[in-house]
Amino acid sequence: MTPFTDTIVAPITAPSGGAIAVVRVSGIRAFEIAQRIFLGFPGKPEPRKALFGTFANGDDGLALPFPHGSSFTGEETVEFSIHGSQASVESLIQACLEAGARLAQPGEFSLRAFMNGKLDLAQAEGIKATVEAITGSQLRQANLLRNGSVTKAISQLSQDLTGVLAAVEASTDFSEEVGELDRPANLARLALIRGEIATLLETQEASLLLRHGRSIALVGLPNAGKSSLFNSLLGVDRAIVTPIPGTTRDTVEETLSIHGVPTKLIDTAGLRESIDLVEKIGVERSLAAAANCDLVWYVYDATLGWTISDEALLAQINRPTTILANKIDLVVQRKDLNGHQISASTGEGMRDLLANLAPPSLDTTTPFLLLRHYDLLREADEAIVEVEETLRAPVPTDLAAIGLRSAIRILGEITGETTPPDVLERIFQDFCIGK
Amino acid sequence: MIVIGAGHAGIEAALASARMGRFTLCVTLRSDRIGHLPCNCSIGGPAKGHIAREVDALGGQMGVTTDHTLTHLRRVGTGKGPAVQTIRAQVCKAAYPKAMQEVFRTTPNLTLVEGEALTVLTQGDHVAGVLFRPNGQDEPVEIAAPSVVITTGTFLNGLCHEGQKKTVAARQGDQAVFGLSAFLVELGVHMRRFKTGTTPRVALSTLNLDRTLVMPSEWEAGPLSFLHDAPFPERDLLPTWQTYTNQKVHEILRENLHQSAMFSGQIEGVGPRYCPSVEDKVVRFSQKESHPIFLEQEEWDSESVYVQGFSTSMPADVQLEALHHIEGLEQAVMIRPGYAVEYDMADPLQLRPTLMSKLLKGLFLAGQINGTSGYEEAAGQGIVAGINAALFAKEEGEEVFSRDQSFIGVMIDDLVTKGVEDPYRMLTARAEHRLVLRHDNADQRLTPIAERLGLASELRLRRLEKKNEIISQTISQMESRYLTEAVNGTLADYEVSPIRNRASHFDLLKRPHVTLDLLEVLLRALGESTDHIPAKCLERPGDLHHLSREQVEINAVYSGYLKRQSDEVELARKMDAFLIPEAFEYEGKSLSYETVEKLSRIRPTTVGQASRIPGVRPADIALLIGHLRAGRS
Repeated sequence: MTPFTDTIVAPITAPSGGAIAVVRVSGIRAFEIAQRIFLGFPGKPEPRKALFGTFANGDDGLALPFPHGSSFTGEETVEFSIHGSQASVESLIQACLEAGARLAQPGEFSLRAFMNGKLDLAQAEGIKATVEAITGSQLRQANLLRNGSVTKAISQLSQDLTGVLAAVEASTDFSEEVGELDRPANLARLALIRGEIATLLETQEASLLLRHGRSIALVGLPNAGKSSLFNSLLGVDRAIVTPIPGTTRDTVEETLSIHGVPTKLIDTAGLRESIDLVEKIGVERSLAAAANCDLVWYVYDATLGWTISDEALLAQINRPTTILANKIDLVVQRKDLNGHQISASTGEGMRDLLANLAPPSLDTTTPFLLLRHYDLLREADEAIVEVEETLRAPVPTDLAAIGLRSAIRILGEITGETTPPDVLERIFQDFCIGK
Repeated sequence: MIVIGAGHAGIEAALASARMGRFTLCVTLRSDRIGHLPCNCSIGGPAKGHIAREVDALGGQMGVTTDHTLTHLRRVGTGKGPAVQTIRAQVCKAAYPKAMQEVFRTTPNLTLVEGEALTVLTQGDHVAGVLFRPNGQDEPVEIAAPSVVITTGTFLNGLCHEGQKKTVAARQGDQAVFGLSAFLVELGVHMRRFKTGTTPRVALSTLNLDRTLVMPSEWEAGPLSFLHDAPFPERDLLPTWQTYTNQKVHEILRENLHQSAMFSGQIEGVGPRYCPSVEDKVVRFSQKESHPIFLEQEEWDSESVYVQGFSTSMPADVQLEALHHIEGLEQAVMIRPGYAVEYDMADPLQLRPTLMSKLLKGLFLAGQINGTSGYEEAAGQGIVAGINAALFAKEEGEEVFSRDQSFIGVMIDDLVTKGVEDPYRMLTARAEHRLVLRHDNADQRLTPIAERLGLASELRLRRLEKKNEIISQTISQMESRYLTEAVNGTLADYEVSPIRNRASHFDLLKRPHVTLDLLEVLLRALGESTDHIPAKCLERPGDLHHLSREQVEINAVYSGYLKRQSDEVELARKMDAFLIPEAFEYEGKSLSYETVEKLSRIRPTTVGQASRIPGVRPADIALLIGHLRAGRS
């Protein structure tokens, strides 16, 4: 990790669109740089008092100074509000660079905030998730991480475990004064703690679904209407659709938000024996896509009915699969059709199909965690199970301290209190902090 | 090399240095007080027994002398896990110092002189020697030495309190000293006042012992030293007697609190939290109706009985009145009252993990002067300071003891990393890796280090080698002998869960409820041989087969716990293996001001130590590692 002896600059508002953009300068030379590029910036600015003035490029705007220790990063910081045109923002940044600042790497403000004790690890990870959020649900859950809800929940668990450990240790060294350990009472405390952990773990499926999304491959025989379905879901003509079987030769991917879940739709080439080399490669790719996605939508032409070829193809697919009977609008006798009935052209049955994709119901206040956190929670839970076994068995109670200390250490890795430096380094490498 | 003081720290420091081949001079005020036991007469006890064993495993003297002079022996922590169990011995207070004097007389390279060390001589940034005045001479003498260990206990500016009565003394019958304290202050050592206390002594023949609980000695507790098959008591071991305080006693103490030196504000020093005076206990645990009292005979041939649990600085008449309301002590004659002593201690945050001062090269501090309490804590520091002073004298590097290796390491790391607020007593709970730091495997942990330093005798090495051999042979034999499903009926008779396919003897021992005793019963019931299991030997509890049997059992029965603990040790070790160069500059590394201040003051030697400094955050550590890596490449 690089030492923070330099001063960094970057816009902290969205790159385009707004009337006003905000540019942050953070580091030991922030005030000095502000004085050089912002006319009217005093030698000793009053903390958090906005100053109106003129930038070196002639534009005017506001400068908001934060002294060392009470800014987002914990460093000396100035936030400039400037007109939001690209040219305006770029010239301000250019001026900062010329005055000695360096362009901030993605996430670097958060890294500095963490390093300066302004954020804990889970919060810093939350900021990263916030910046990366695509869907509204992702943003909500990232916000919970960022505002410290997760830290609070984890710290509470650690504290509760420390309470049990204190009881164990007191009865180890001072059984004469405090008596032997009350096993049932402490088992009850552990049961509560494990209940809390279980509640947090329950959010994993939904959380990971929201964060990482899912992929759905549209698979089926040629001309089953996969590309029509694909286009209809996207609302645009993304894939070429013709009545000629084998039109789609390569896989086509697009991501859309379905019930807040980023969903990657993969349109594939129809699966048939082909002598056309290009189509042959396409078929291979289709099979590969079907093997790697989270969910397969197997599409067949309802006007032709379920065929032996469909049966044979379906047998080759080993991912969770939903069978879709397409072109249902053209079929009169619908009764015995295999699978979910839809029509890509009229939209019939589509609403029901998508309803099935809704993630588990979401409580917007439950903190959602990152995969790293879930793994650690499970590890901590395993350690607590060992403690429970110790307290239930006719085993001396001081042995319970071993599992308790492990569990507390593991939970501390979530918030950064006990995270080994190599893990910290890895986490912040994800923030693209180079060199 | 010069050692100042010959208490429990000074003895181990001087002997370690002499045994490592350094010409060693030990300066003490009175040679008849070598290894004097001014407080209780016990060696060992919870967590202290661990340190005593570790000192022994390092080739120290405390355990050997205890085994020759003990009057009483008990196991402690029975009913607790193997990490808590240890030994508590009582020694004859007359015999123990005599035995230590004899060891001093017969140890090559070691010279004892009586006198007062006035100051430490320096040259530039290092020690040059000691200025001392031999007893009976007016003129002080200078003696040159490259390293000096100060182990002055409670002697620096000692002040004794008994009620409102104050006496300038280090302890009963010993003058206090002032010169060294002035030297340390001038050097820049932060000195503070600590307080400790002792109990009244009562006459054995005036006690009504029928009204107390008799606690006989437990021979099977074993010798303290790994060198011995059994201890060598001079006579049949004595019992100890237990009684209790009661509401009436508490009332008397409460009514007279204003007369207690501690509570009336006479004492400014900070007292020990974990060894409180009886008036402290009455105030702090006011809801408790009684506190246990143990009556311990201090010498073979003396009436003096130590009233364990009744340390006090009350006036003598109040002490006596309170004692007379304790069952069994109704007619007790008080030989001498309890008293408190205040003394100067030196802030251990100014020490390196070798116990060398950061302020002066070659100057080492060990024992009570560093803010600890207890003979064992002193001895543990003494041997570490002695070893390192000896190494320093010949520029042969240093020997640092880590937290995952010994209680001694835990203690020293606590002292030099966190400092002390009150007299530091070792507690089992202080050692986070204690299951691997048992008193029974101190030899396996530390004797190899003693061997490397030249502190392990032939006998010690041979015994360890033999013990390790028996353990590994036993385990390998137990792992290669199997029982099959056919024996499930017999297992059920002993409430042991059934075997599927087959299980080795060692696997069986890993099951809940299965001990080696039970396994032997099972094997005999099945007509199988038990020859491969080392026999018990309660008459000689230090017998190598007996000890090995214990190790095999612990390794199997607690294998799950040992595995988890070892994993944690591995994690900790990574951090402690990351060294910080001595001259590392913390300024200008974008560490917070508070962090820079702490790290610059404490100057941790490893990243692990840095991470244990209160208030240092993980982000600081990550940043620190980043810099250290950058500095290396």
